Amino acid sequence: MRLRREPEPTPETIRELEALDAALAGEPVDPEHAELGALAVALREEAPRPRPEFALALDLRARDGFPAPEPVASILPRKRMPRRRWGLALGAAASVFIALTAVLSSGVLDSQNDNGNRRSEPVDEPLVLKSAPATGDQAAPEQALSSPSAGAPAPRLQGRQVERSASLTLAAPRDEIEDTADRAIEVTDRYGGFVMNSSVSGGEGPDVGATLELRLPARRLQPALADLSKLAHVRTRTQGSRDITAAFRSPRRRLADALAERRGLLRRLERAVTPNETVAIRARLRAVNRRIDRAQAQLRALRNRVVYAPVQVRIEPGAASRAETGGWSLGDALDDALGVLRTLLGATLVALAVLIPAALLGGLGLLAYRGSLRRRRERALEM
Amino acid sequence: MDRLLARSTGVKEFEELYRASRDDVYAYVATLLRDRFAAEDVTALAFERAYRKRGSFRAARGTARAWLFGIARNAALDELRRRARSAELDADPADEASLPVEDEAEFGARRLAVRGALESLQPRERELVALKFFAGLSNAELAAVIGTSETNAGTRVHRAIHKLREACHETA
Repeated sequence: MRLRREPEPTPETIRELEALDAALAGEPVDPEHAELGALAVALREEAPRPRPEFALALDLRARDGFPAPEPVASILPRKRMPRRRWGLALGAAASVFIALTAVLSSGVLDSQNDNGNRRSEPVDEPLVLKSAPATGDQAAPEQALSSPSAGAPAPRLQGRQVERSASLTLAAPRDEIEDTADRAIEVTDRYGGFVMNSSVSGGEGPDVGATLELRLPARRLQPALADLSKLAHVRTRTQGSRDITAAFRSPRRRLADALAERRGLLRRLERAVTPNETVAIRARLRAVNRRIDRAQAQLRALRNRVVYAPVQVRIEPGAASRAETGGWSLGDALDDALGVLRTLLGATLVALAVLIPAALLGGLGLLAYRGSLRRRRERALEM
Repeated sequence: MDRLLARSTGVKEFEELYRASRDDVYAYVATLLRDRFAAEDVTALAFERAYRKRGSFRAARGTARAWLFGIARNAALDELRRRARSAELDADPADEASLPVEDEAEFGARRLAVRGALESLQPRERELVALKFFAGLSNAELAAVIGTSETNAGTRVHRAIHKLREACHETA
């Protein structure tokens, strides 16, 4: 198509065009334009006419609603994918793209991995306590732990020994405090932790509430705290960490000294001649062994402080339960509706952030393709 | 018919359009392609496409005939492109068989002159003649088919017919 602008037609041109139209319509033509009229009629008679057999075949196909042509004519263009299928394919591709983008950008995969670890690790890698003398309501390990995760270097920062701790205050409905405490213990078990102390007071009294002193594996502290936080409304949540590398030095030195002394005493014992000498060395050995035990116990306790983070969970009566408020209230419904709307709005924004540029690019591409196709078609007319 | 086709996208209305336009579409396509058999294929293809797309016709954009001839034009130009790519013919010889077969005796001097003059036109001018005189489109419909204004279309038709008339005089 040439976008050349033609000059405005002159009155004579207009009259001649009208004469042509009149001649084609079989109407009388001004004698001045009789020749033009005759030419128009002669031209019309020159129109190519279809062969009767082709016209008949086409009539039959028209009657049948133009069924799909058989692949006989090489002249026909290659069968292309219908536009609807293209649309479906593009739509599906866009949906997959959006979903992937949303999933990847939301970090769901990461959190799912975390969740997977939370659930599987306690099962796959149970924390095995070598010995666990009771020091509270429940059994607690004071000895060294043999689990790979227990001795894991997670809390260490480049050789530093870091003790972590946390406290959490949850607000639960009065009638749900015991259940919440039970679920907190379940979370603790799931992460391979244990309960040092627990105190739960239910009922209607003023001191209703629960306090749990937990020990959670430091390397899984964050996901465990996240799960604990889901049990009820979180009022406060604090976390801390303390470098206790220096605290290890003294017991290690005492242990090394005691071990060296024991080795010396054992050598002297081998060489002892008199009974008195033997008795004296044995007495000193017993004393050294006690020092070794104490130093080792100190180290184990320190190591436990690094491996297991103390977490204090306080559950207070706070939020009214649905039973107390008479079930799902209008306010709850409004909150839920707002939450749903916020989520939808966020998802829509994410989708638009992908779709708008994609649609713009697609539109530009389509326009460019159509323009290019139109130009190529027009060029074909000039060949 | 236009309104009915637009409103109902019905088969009946399309059949009416088909009956009214079959020979005209063929004449136009045959003039563009100058090959009877190719013209038959492309004419059939154009009607098939139009039938499938009948729901996309919008009366506000022009008449049903202009819409149909637009589809036929695209199909014919695609065929010309395909031929140019595959055959690389320098020039397609005119298919004499596509012209009306009549007895030699009936050929008058004027008709011979008209045919000769038609051959002398440029492809674009021949297309205008085909749309105007073979297919019987109005200037507005013609403008819609070739994608220009009605004034432009009229002026170009006028120029083509004058060229044709001069060519006729020269041939005569």
